[in-house]
Amino acid sequence: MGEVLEVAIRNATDQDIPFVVETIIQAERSGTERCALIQLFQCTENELRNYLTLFLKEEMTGCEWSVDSFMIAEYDGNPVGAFGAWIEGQNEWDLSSAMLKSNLMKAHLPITVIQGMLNFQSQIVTVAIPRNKGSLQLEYAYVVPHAQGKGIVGKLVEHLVLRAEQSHCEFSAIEVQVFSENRSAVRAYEKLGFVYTFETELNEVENLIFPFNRKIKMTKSH
Amino acid sequence: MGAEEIKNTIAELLFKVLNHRNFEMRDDLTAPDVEGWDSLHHMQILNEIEIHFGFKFKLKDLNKMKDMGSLVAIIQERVMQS
Repeated sequence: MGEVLEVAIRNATDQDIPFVVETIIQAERSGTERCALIQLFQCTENELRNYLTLFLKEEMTGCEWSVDSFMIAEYDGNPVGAFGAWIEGQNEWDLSSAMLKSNLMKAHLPITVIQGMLNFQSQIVTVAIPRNKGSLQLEYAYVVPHAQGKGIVGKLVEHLVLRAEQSHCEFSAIEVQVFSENRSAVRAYEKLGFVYTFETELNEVENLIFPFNRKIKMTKSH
Repeated sequence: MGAEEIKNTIAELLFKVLNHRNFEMRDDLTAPDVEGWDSLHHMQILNEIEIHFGFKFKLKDLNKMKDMGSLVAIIQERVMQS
């Protein structure tokens, strides 16, 4: 067992948007240089940061592009990690997280970007793993390099589950999606009691926009 | 503009984006009921509606769209405002 860093865990606020944006971009990269959102939106990294900031500034709940979904791990007054979670389909609009994300993109992305996304439709559809309504979804974990391997993801998961329990919403399972080639993430979730339950694979794809071509769902009963 | 006229227009725009007419324009029709109406095509359909009717949906409009009936009601409201 490695060193454990004693961090404080708290809900994210609008002040944390730059760190949450960094979290989303780094988690999308899964340790590689490839970020699917940059490919999908046909934009630069700075433009992606601007788009994500616009999404996160909206009063949105129930999806991974909502500040309310995130909790922040803080050490010595600075954010060192973040992780998002929400209960699928339980929001004031009764919409799936996929539809909420789609609405955020529709509201903020130029028409030309939305039209260009159709070029990647088959990749997006193939790699998509259904999220079970009523389950606690975990998405976008990131810990800054100097704090990695010190138990922060486990602590964030613990607090995200506790927060969901305290919201008086029933949920029977906790789900997380990860690229199977991201071995360190898979091992971390296995240690936390998650087991492999579903897999999608992109075969022989030209211009792959994702960091890897095999995605799995890992589940923990609750 | 009447609800039936708006529905007929939406049906044509759905055909333009999805390339089929395998749907019935009921008020309780939802995206998962229609083949190909996934989140990517949802954005394309809304683009077409905006271009045709000459307004831009706000995020609060988009989040209220649960079914065909609510989509038609939002379009009617926005057309009246413009």
